[in-house]
Formats: sequence, structure tokens, C-alpha cells
Amino acid sequence: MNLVAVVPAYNEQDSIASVVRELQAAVPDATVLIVDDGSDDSTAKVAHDSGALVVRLPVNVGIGAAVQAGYLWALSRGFTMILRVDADGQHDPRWAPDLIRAVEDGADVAIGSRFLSSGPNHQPPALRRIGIAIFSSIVTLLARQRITDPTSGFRCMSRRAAEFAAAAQPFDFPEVEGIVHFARAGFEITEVPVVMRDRRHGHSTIRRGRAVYYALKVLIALFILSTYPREKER
Amino acid sequence: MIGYIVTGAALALLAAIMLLIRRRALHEAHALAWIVALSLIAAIGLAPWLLSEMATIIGVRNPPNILLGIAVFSLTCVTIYQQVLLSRTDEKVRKLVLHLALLEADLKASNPSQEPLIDQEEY
Repeated sequence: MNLVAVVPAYNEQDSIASVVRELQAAVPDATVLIVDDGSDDSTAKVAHDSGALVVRLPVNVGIGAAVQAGYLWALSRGFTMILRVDADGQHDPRWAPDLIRAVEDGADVAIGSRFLSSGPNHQPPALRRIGIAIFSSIVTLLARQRITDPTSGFRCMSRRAAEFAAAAQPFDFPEVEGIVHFARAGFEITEVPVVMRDRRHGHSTIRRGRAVYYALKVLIALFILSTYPREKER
Repeated sequence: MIGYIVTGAALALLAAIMLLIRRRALHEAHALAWIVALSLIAAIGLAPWLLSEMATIIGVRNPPNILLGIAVFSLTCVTIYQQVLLSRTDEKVRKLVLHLALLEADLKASNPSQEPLIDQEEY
């Protein structure tokens, strides 16, 4: 296994060091790559000082582009498996081995789902839960398989899937649409129970007004995707 | 009289667009829609009977309303066209940013003392 953990980060100087440390403890064989998405704070320096490799985007281009930069970096260096973890500390890296195992067992994409786990889990605010439920229904319909946590960015994927994602996935908010892209291209997707925690520092990039923009943008993208014939992406 | 004012205003805007192109502040491709629309408006201003004829054919009681309709439609088309161009540029900029960052990472891997290629403070 040649694994890299890609962590897109924007202004996460307070949480990034603990995320790097926890990743190093949970998956000691993994290379940890922080993609600093044009942060205004010391995210890149803190990540570097914590022992992670850092790719620094000169301007803020959004989480999708940051993740793509991570995939491209990993692919150019021959990594065979890519783990994606958020930089805000919500994804507990102790559950990463379960995601990795799912890919080793043959899945192309393993998605960490907080809704499959019976343990104590971060509960998103009510409105966001409703949004996730709506996305879940639409993605389940379009992907033709049950997806409980489509907005989860806690994922592991094979090199083949990462190659596809690096070329075909959207720059803006790629999580939800990405699942449908993967499913329509014939990749095997599985969900794995994980525990997500409350954000420890800072604030989410998707807040109030932006949440409405996010929801509308994703809904439009899903609608457009539904108009494509399934063969289109194969 | 109003016809001459419309033509004069359209020609003044056309002259301003030509000046912007000359100063390389506006690309010909982006100005094309404006040039066509303004030329059309200038022509209608000089031949107001054209508008009256059109109003009779279409069944519009007040001929200047046609001009207003054409203007709104043209502006909408130009705006959508600009948004398409903006989306294309957005995509290109993001790709460039990604490739620049990856090149910089390669450079830094071979030479750890390498300074950032772009000073973030500039943005």
C-alpha cells in the first residue's frame, strides 16, 4: 500500500497541527499532504512544522480545486491509494483504517458516513440535516445505490478513482456531485461507518448565505447530471 | 429629433468602445456584441420610420417600446455571453493556480530554500 492523506485546508492554523498528528498516529505508513488553499493565516507553516508535506495554492480557489491539486500531486508521485480528510478536526482519523480497508477489499471509493455509525457522533444543525437528507435521496436515485452521507469529505479511493476525480470532478463543492460522477462511470462505491466530531476551531466555510448558494449550486449540478445519459462518462 | 439623439448617443458609445479597444482595455471579441447592437440602434435612430413600420407589423401601439424591448433583449444576451466568458476564464485561472502550485511544490522538493514563486501578500 502506497497511501497519501490529502488534507485541503483554508485558514486552519489552530486545528491543522492536531489533524496532522492524529493522522500520523492513525495511519503511520501514510504520507500526509496539506493543500493550503491560499490561507491568510499560518496554516502552511504550522502544517510544515508538524511534519506534513505542503502544497500551497497562491490564491484561494475553493475546496474542490484544492482537493484536485492534492490528487494530481499524489498521482504524479505514484501513490496507489488516496485518503481525504478535512482540516477542521471533524474527521476522526482513528476511523481512517476502516476506509482504507474497504478500498483494499475492492471498493474504488469508500465514503465515511456519520449516519451509519452507532457511536456518539457530531449532529449537524437541523437545517443542514434536512439538506443532507434531500441530497441523500437525490444522490441515491441518480447513483442507483443508497448513499446516507453524500456531503462527507472523509473518503478513501483507489488510484484509478483518483485519476478519474482529478480529471472529471467539479471545482466547487465536489462531494455530492462527485458520488454521482463516480457511480455513473461504473466505480464501486461503499459507505463505511465513521465518527465525526464537532469542529474544534474556527468556523465552517459554508455559513448562512453561503449555505443557500451551496444548496442551490449542488441542486442545479445534480439536475444537470440527471439529464446526461449514463454512458456519457464511461 | 429624438431619433438624432438616439443615434448620437449610440455613436458616442461606439466611439468609447473603439477607444477602449485601441487602448487594449477591451478585446475585439468581447466588444463585438456591443458594436453590433449599437450600430443597429444608430441605424434605427436615423430611420425612425423603420420603427413605425415594425410597430405596425408586430402590432405594438407605441413604436419606442420596440426599441426598449430590443435593448433589454440585447443586454440580456450580452450579459449571458459575458458570464460564459467569465466561467471559461474562471476554469482556466483555477487550472493555472493548480499547476503553478504543483510546479512550486516540485521546485521546493528539489531546493528546500526556494522562496514562493508568487508572494501571497500581492493578492
